[in-house]
Formats: sequence, structure tokens, C-alpha cells
Amino acid sequence: MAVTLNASTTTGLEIASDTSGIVTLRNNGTDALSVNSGNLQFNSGYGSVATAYGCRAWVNFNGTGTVAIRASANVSSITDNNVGLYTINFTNALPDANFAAVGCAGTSYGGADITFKTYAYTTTTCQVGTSLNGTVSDEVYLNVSILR
Amino acid sequence: MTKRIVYTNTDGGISVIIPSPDSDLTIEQIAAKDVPPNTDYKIVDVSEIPTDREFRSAWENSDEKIEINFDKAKKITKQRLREERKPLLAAQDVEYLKALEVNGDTSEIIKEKKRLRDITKLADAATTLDELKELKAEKPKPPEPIIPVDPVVPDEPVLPTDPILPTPPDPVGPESEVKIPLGNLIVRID
Repeated sequence: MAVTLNASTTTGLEIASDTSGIVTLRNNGTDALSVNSGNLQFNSGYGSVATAYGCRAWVNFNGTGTVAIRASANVSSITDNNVGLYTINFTNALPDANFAAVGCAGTSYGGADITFKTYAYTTTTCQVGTSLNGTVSDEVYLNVSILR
Repeated sequence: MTKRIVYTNTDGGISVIIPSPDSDLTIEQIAAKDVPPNTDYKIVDVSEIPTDREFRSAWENSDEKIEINFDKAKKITKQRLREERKPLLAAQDVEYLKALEVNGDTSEIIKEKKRLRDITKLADAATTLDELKELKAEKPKPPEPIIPVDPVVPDEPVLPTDPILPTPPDPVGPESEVKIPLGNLIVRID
């Protein structure tokens, strides 16, 4: 059974239902958000409701001095393996290793030719590495997001 | 969390697990989950982890604490010096060619190139980590000449000035009186 809740500017709350299995929230007749076949869809300036693909884990950490995580989600820990080489450990495993790991590294002063790489994906971990002018390096800001 | 999990990785180096402050797991749960299987580990206080990472690749796990393997530290230093000297050698090559073009003196250039080629030998001669850290490929700058400063000349003594005398009062009074004796006119002015 589907449920549609519409916030009408003339009649107030309108409730409708059918058997499509979709849950929809509308603003004055325009779909804003729906849950369809397990997918969360929303508009929010996109132009129409479309499936949102989530960031399944993220972390922001300092790779210099006393290496430490500033903030994270679905990350239980990071492993400092060597200069500029880290492992991101997920709290909850991903369904497969076909996620997109994106990120960047930065210094405290800005201008630097830093290379950031991600590699060795598994359902529970992802490796990241940084180098400066071709030489492995520790950086102040390392940010990684796991999209799936 | 102020705890860290330390274990020896497959490369023979040290791996340090840093728990997330946003995780609800305990340090033991994180160790059970994130340390590779069949790997010995220990949980230590963060203060036991070195903060100087210059010789991070030389960290080794001893019974009690993380120590730096000096031979590995030498290799790290040599590699750093090789990277540092690359642009310096290239610059000397340019200077050498310039000197050849004008049949100039190349002896200093040759001397500098040899110094750069031999720079890694200094790492072999070092006996402490501090000595290794101080090694640089760049030619040490000669000490700046000491420029003599002018001696401090004492200020000239302040000569006493003439005292400012009070302006004499207008000659008034009894001695300024004009006396006119009988028969003569005498004017006395002091």
C-alpha cells in the first residue's frame, strides 16, 4: 500500500493511498521525497525526486605528530602504517568492495603539490596514501568519504 | 580516546591503530575487529607513541616501547639527502657548462659536485639521531663576517650655562633720585 501525504496551501493536509508500495511526501502537489523500492528519493533543488546515494563512511584526521581522528562516521579506527600510509577501518562492513573512495589531503599552509591516492578496497577497509613532490609524506588534513 | 593499538605489520614495521572518538566500540572491540588476524598486539597510552615522525619507517617494536632502528634511520636520511641534492647537482651541471663555454675556472664547481656526491657518507659517520636530522645537502653558508661596531662615544658633557640673572629692577628708589643742590644742577644716574 502506498501512502501520499500532501501539504496543500488551500486545503491543508491531504492523504491518499494506493497499492504501489511507495511512500511520498508532497509540498502543495509537488513530490519532495519518496521511499520507493527501498530507495530514498528526494528533490531538494535537483528538479525532480531522484534516488540519493549515500556517503557510507567518512573520516577527517591529522596525519602529523600525534596522528588523531578529528571526526568520523562509520569508521571505527584508522591504522597508521607508515609515513603517509593509512588504513580506514569501517565500523559496519559495506555490501561489497565496489564503493567509490574519494578524498583529499592538505597542509596547514595551503600551497603544496600533494598527491592523494586510495587503494586496496575491501568490504571492511580502504587504504589511503599521500605524497609531496613524489615523496611519501604526512599531512595535517586527510579527508576520506566512502560512497556507495 | 587516549589509547592506541600497536602491532608489527607484515613489512616488519610498526602499525598503530587510532580509534575514532565517534565510535561506540571499546578499545578491545576495535582491536578484535581491526588488528589483522593472528597478529599479536598491545594496547598502549598515546604518550608512548613517538610524535616525531622523521624516522617513522625505522620504528620497531621492542618489549616495552617503540624504538628507532638506527641503521634504518641512516637509510632514511640517505634517501632524503639524495632527494635534496638532485636539484643542487643539476644546478652545478648548468654552472659547469657555462664555465666551459667561456673557458672559465671549474675547480670550485667540481669540488661542490664531489661534495654532493659524497654527502650520503656523512650519514654513515653519524652516531646519533640528532646528527642525522641536522644533515643537509645544501652547502652550509659561511658564517657572516662580524662587522665591528663603532665604539660607544659618551655624550659630550653638558656645559653649565650662564645663570639667568634676574632682570634688574627699574632704577627706582632713593639712589635714583635727582638731587638738585642749590646753585648747581647735578644729575646722578646709577
